[in-house]
Amino acid sequence: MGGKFKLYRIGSDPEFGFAKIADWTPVLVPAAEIMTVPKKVALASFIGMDSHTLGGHGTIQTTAELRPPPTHNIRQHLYYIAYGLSEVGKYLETRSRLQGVIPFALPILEKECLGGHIHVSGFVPEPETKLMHENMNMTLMNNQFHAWNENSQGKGIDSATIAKIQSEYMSKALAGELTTPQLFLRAMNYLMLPLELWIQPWSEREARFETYKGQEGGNYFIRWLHTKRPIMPLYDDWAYLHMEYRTPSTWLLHPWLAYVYFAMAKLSILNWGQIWEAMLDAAPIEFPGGTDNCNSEAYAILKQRLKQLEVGGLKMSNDIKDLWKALGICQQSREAWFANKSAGIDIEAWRSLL
Amino acid sequence: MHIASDCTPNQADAYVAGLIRGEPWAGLELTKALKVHTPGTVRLACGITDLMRQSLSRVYQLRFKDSYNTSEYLIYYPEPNLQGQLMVNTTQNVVRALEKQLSTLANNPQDLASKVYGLQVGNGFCLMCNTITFMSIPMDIPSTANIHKGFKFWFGEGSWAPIKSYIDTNISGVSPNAAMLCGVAGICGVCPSRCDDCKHYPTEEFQAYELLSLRDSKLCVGCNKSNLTSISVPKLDKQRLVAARRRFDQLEGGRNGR
Repeated sequence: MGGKFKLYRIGSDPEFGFAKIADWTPVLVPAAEIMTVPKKVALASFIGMDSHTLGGHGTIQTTAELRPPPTHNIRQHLYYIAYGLSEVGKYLETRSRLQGVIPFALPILEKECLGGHIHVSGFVPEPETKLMHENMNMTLMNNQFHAWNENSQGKGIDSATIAKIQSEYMSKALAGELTTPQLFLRAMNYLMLPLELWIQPWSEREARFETYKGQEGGNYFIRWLHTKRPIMPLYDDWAYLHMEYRTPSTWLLHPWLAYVYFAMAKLSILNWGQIWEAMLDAAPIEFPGGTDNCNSEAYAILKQRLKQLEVGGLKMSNDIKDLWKALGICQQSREAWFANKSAGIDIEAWRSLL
Repeated sequence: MHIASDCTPNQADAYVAGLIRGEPWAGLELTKALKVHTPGTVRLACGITDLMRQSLSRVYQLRFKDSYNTSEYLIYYPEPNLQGQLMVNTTQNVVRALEKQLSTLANNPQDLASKVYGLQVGNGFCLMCNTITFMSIPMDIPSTANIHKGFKFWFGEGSWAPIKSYIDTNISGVSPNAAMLCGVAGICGVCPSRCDDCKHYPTEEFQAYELLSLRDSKLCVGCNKSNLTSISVPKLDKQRLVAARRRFDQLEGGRNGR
């Protein structure tokens, strides 16, 4: 156990910002000035706003985000994103009041961090985790038990039994045998963190990570959600997980960049056993600070890890078979993508997929 | 006009006139006078919520019972030392009515927008800039008789003609149909009152919720409906997915996918 994962769906809520260019520099335009509808509408719509209001803009929502439906096929998910971004582009182009406003996707824009959170849902063969979540309404994070669903309660198990189950759960989790949020984060980070460190523009990505410094072990980079368990009788005894993996910075800049993130995430899930073992053996990569550019170092780690995994044989699905091609394109193009900071999201490239 | 025992009628007049022009000092002086000196002044602990305070903070509310010769008035003055206090010198039943109104608002903050709208129209405040710009229009009209009519107009009574002619003469250059806007929409002639997107002015049939849309977002209801948030997820069949896959294969890493 702690190494099998039956993928149900993969999803995302990528963030982006709106900006006007002044002196070749993007200046943030709060999303609330563009989506002029009541907050409760914009916080739930396909193209909407993120709820946070940081960055000196008072109580105004500053960040926009897409909420494409989760899918099993990442190409389908990317199609939804392409459609959303194309509509965003069309809207901005046809409104005279928004002349000069373009959508942006950098890890940080002014003080606004823009994440490319990836949601993964599926089943793990862990009756203990199922019991912990569904009967005791608890989960283990940072060696402490937290409410799994804050709006719910456990099923009246007496305290002595709870203490016994918790103690057993804790020892198995510490041995790396159970899929706790923290271990899930580490497993996902095994390939995705070197990818993130390599592929994103260094200074912006570093600024984003700096904002969340100290929360690496906390629940900023991983969140457990409690969406409705899908009806899949084969997995009735398994625990159902819905994790929001929040390490990635936004990847909306170009379709190939997005593809690499999704394909790598799905590759990790499809090869969960191998990744899990490798993750337990490897020392976690530190979130690097400072201004030293470690792009190439991260790329070397990513390549080496992929090579090691390939030795054991990698399980691929049709939709992620272009991962190697995508990595090549990203390697060739990433500098050009990020060199022009005032160019914004490549809406035309996204539109060409429709 | 007699407001406070130590105010001369002239001072009181000056305070009210200043308040009508939107000058904060006047509100402060008037409020001080009410608070300290006026017998019968009641301070309401109204439990005003932050949301209400935020929305009301730019608004001075002044309710005239009888044009300029009032014995009942209501002032909201949101300076830090008097934050959130509603002051009224009037009979107990009015106090009770106010308390009820405020407690309803506190319990239903979603009603605030329409209440503010009601208060603004009732009191002659421009819906866009929250000043009493268009209230000052009838005040400036030289004929005393017309002032009375002018005020009543905002409550749905009286004659429209003196205000319309004043606006047409003085400020119609600012906004082509300022008179219509002032009369129908409660938007002063100075404020930009066209929809930012479609550039249309409100029509005479404008409803309250449409005005709120224009005030809050500078967009008419139609443009607000066609907002980005109204776009839904496309339907996707296998053919489109296969076509998208083919296009993805052709996509390159350069700008615009070339």
